[in-house]
Amino acid sequence: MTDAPINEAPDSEAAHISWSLGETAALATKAARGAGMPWGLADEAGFAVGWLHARGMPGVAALCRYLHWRDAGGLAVWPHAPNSDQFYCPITVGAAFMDGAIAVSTTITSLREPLLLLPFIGKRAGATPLEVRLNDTVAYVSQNGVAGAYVDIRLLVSSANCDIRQPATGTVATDVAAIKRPQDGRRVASCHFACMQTLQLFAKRTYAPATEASRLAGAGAGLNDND
Amino acid sequence: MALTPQHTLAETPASRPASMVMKLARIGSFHQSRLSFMRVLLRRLKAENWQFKKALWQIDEHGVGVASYEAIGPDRTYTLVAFAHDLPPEKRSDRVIAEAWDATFTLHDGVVSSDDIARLAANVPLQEAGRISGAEFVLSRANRSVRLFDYVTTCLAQGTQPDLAEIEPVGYLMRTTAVYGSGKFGAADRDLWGNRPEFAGSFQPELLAVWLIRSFTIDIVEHMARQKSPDTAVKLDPDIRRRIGVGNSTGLGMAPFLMNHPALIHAWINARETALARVRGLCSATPSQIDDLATLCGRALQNANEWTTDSPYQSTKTAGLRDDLARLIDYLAEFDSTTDHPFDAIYRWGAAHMSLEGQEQLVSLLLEDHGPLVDDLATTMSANESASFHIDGSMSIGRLKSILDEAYGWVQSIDYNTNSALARVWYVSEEKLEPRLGERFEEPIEPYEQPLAPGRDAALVRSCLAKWDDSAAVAGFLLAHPEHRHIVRRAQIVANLPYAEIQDNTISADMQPIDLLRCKLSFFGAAKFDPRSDRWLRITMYQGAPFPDELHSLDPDDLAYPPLKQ
Repeated sequence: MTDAPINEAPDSEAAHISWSLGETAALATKAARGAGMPWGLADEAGFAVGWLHARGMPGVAALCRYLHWRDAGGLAVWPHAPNSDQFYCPITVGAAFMDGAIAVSTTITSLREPLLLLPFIGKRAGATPLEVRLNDTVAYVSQNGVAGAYVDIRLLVSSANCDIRQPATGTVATDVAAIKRPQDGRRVASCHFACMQTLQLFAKRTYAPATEASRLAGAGAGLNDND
Repeated sequence: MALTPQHTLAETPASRPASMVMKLARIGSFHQSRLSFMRVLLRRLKAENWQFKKALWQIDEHGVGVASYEAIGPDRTYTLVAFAHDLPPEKRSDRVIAEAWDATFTLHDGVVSSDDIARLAANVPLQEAGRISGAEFVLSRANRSVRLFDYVTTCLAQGTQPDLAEIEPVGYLMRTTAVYGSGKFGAADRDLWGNRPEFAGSFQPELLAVWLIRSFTIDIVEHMARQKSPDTAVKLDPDIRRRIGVGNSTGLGMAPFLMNHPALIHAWINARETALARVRGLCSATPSQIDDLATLCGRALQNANEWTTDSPYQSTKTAGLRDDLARLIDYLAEFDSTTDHPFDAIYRWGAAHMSLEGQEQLVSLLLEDHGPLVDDLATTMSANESASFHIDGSMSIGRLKSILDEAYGWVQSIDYNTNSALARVWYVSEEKLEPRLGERFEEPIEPYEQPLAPGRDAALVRSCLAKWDDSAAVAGFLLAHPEHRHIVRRAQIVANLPYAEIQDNTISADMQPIDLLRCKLSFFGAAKFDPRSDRWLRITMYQGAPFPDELHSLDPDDLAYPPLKQ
């Protein structure tokens, strides 16, 4: 594994913190916007992170690493083939796949943070899983979730070549059956403290620095508020 | 036997069109109604015979400590935990930038343990700087009314009751300055409790918390009176107590909500419009029904007369409302109750003769006596927003163009080439992470603009689409133009949900932000809107409503308007 640490030992202050999926998705949206995505795609980043954590997968870690890379990285633009130092954005390509702008059976070379692609595949797949091959890892993805050997950690790679296809008939019954619906009440655990802080820094880029004038005018100072 | 829509209606007239309803000036004139969420909550608590108890009261002689209030329903118990603080007057501010309050609150799922209270005591007083858990649904805080809290304390300590003439213009002892729910600051996600029948509708946990906070404000003022003079102190008389609600200061933080939740806003307004259409569809009325409506108008006029504000904007509107209601009462006195479709006739008279403020008050009043006909709509006032989130990429460009031309036809009357049409920018301030409204051509804030100008964005995407072939799919367009993705998503939602969009320019120079706040707060059930500038206002909640110890013996709906003075 590369890039930003994803499982830092929480310090004592952070040990009991957890985040709701709603605030996590909202933060992911703001962070993606802060990193330069248009609002509509930033909303998809929030959807993807929420989808992954609802299924116990480390979406904030993947987004945190992706936004770090994106700050200096060379983005490839679908469908143009990437140069040797370029990668596709998993949110942009994922949204296009979900929308149907990309065929179901597709090879995406040089995809950054492929974990973030899975929610879009799941959305398009609906109830019938699609087979996703990321380098040498195979996973089956439906609207319910993801199944495959050790996919929860093996899919958290910085980049991969990605093959999406309809599964061959009869070969994957066990894996497909292993896709479980998300559990209620999932939270984002304290081990993601550092990633959440990083996402806060990206989100901060969407906030306008305050001036004394805006502090008064922007919120409408008006009359005395203490009576 | 309860009346049902099926056998009282000959026909239901069409609901009012979105092009009429969804204007800022009109939604900024909405009033609370029997579909407002506070009233839905109290009806349910009464119908299900919920029990309430003050489980903990550890407040010292300075008014500092912790209290808890349990609401015990048929299936579950919820506990309001209240922390009372000794706040120096110079630190008391309703602004979201405040860091200390007179009292702080959370609503806990279940009965609280001492461990829970210790955990909450370390976090709830910090509000945004603390963290609550998945076992909490609401985080809130409140400040005392300087005008009323000390006055009432002194009266009670002396063994006398406060004067209603002092209470009515204020209407509360404490005002909340934020009521956070739905996953904020660590609270449980809405998905966790959204399917609980006691929370059907919108904002039910938040408004349960506020109703219990109201009891705390009474208990703390009576406690302080006892501390001041244990031998002479008395409790508030129930009839006076009932005229004390909970205040609220609301700023721009609430305004983007109406634009960020289009499917939900449609559900709210569609319920209200459907209710109005059902009442207007009634073929006949008895003379006593018309008399009751006239009496209710008198009570609404009394409410309007007690509605004080220093805001020139609202003062003008409230004066118009008083005049409207006085004329409406005269009209009803002469009204022939044998008129065909009588409530439709009354509505039409109002639409022709009253201001927007009066017309929307009349809508609320027309629903008032028709509970069996309209109350079922309360359960429709929520939305599965994740279902409407996903874009239909297979939609043709031609269809998208026609949606934009129809649902956003109103933007053609706005000239977005003028500075006045683009004058404002919605942005979030770094200082407190709260929405603000700035001047595009005077401040360096455009790079931080939030996507809260659907009219402008619809015009932009429509212009961009002109070059695209009608038979192409939306998916390809969005891959080429991701900058339009948010407005395409919105247009697809609005296509099926006509009341989802405010059909006005939300960034124009003459836009009144308080219209957005007023609309949302009216659905909560707030009253006595008191704008303190063009972008924040005060309200009262639950003024006149029963307290937990009298809910079994009083009808909360009958108390929604003040009783007529004898």
